[in-house]
Amino acid sequence: MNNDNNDLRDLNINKNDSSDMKTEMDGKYLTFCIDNQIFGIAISDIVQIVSIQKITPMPRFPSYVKGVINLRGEIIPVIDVRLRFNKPEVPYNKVTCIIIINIGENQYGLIVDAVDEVVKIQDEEITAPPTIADNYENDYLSGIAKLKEKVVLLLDITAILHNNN
Amino acid sequence: MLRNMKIRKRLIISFLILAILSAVGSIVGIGILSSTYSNFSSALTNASSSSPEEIAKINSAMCNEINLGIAVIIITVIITFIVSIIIGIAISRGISIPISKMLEASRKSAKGDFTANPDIESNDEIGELSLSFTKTMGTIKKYIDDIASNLDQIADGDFTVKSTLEYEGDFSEIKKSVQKVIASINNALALIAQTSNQVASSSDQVSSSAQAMAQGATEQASSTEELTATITDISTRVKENATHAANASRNVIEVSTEIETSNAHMNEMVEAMSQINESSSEIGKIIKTIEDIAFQTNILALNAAVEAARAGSAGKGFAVVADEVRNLASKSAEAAKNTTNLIENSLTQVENGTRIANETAQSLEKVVAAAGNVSDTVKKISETTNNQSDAIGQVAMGVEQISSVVQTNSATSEECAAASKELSEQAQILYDLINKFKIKQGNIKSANIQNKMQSSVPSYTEDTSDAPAKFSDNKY
Repeated sequence: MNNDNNDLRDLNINKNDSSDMKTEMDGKYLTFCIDNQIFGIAISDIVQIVSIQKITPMPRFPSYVKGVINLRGEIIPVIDVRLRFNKPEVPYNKVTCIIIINIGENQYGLIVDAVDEVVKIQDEEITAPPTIADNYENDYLSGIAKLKEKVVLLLDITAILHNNN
Repeated sequence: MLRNMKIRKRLIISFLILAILSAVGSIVGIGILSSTYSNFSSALTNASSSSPEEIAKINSAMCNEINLGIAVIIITVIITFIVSIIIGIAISRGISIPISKMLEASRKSAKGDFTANPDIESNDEIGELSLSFTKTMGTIKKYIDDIASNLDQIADGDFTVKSTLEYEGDFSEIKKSVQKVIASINNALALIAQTSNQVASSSDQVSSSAQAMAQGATEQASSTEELTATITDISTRVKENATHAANASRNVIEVSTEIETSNAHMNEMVEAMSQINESSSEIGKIIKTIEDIAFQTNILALNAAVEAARAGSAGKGFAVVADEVRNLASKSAEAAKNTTNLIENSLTQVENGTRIANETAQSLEKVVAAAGNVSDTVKKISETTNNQSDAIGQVAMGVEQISSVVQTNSATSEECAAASKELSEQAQILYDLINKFKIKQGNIKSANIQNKMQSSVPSYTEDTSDAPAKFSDNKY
């Protein structure tokens, strides 16, 4: 676990390097669904999206880190976001996907219930997360976006990695 | 004179006369002969002293005397003979003629002529015999005439006859007998009259009964005809029933056949539906594949979008392509989803259809069972109807028998009525006949006529009123 913490903290710094690409990736979020809640992640952080595949459990990982996957030779640890958000675990089905994110130099996989789409979200549509709501979850949110009738909770992935306990 | 003497006297006198005659003659003769003898003897005595002429003279004198004597005797004999003949003839005639007359008269009376009168006018026994004969015959004739006249009266029907003639001696037996007969006949006729009366009334009753019976039989006949008509009606209806039952049975069989066909079709349909199910499953699998493909394509498109975003401005076109690919993928997914929906619908419909087919099959089974029941019931109805038919046939036969019996009854009772009518008429005739007889009234002592007929005459009382049809104890 200590190793992971180190890795994750390191990755945190890398986030700022791809700022020149930000204009094109600005406002583009990948929305996905967990427990009927729509979350979003900025595309800049996303490497790839893959379907759920065989996870090799690692003995000493935290409970929400299900294990590692072998993605074209690379070993990538995967995190079950549900468990991370203290939601009950559900069995994986064919729409369950793993979003491979890039934090620093490391890649992690986020197991989500389903992916939705890539949307462009204007800044004006984003509001700060309300403080009344559950603090625990709010730490992960970078904002809340309103799209037509949908409410998208924009995740701060570093926060996911951060509050690693 | 001779005639009036008794026969015995006559005979005695006759024989006396004969005897005297013969005696006289004989005596004379004998006297002569004796004298002759004496002469002869004296002659003879003298003969010796006499000359032959004297002898011759004496001889001749003797001869003459002998001849005379012989002649006297002969004459006497002849006279006696003649007299006896005459007397004999006279006496015999005096006896036989009356007796012949008597014989004649009695022959006649034997033949029935009681008026035969020997008509012998003499006072001798034969005369008296003839008198008494005549009297007897007359009496008999009288009695006979009396009886005859009474019997004639009886023959004319008058049983009230009564004879005032006194019958004497043994003749009273006849009178008693005739009286008895008349009384018997009286009784018998009275009884006959009474009986014929009863017969008449009884036969009237029988006649009316027979007529009533005839009428009853007529009513029976008409009732029987009605019954026959009703039975025929029933029979017709039963036959109709049977026909209907047969029709129903046929219909049921047809329905059963139809139902079986339906069932077969149902089964085919269910099979077809299951095949649809299978096809749908196959299609479902394919759709799933398509869905997977769409999903993967989506992910691919997302990845492409991500890469495009990361590629920055260089990835703009790629982003567009990615977008389009995502669109395509989403359309595919949409189409696949629609198709899946359709398939689900189809499956649901097929399930519905199967369920309905099953329910229909069950219903049809119930219908078949019910039809079977109906068929059985109809068979029972048929059987019952057949039994009914047979029973009705028997009833009809029975009614026919009744009918013929009734007809016979009717005919018989009519004959009976006719016969009793005849009987009635005959009884009436008998009654009238008997009424023609005049019968003496009397007390009807008892119904036991036989005893009456055998009882003696004095038991009859005198009651001589002339009323027909009543007993009379009459003194004949």
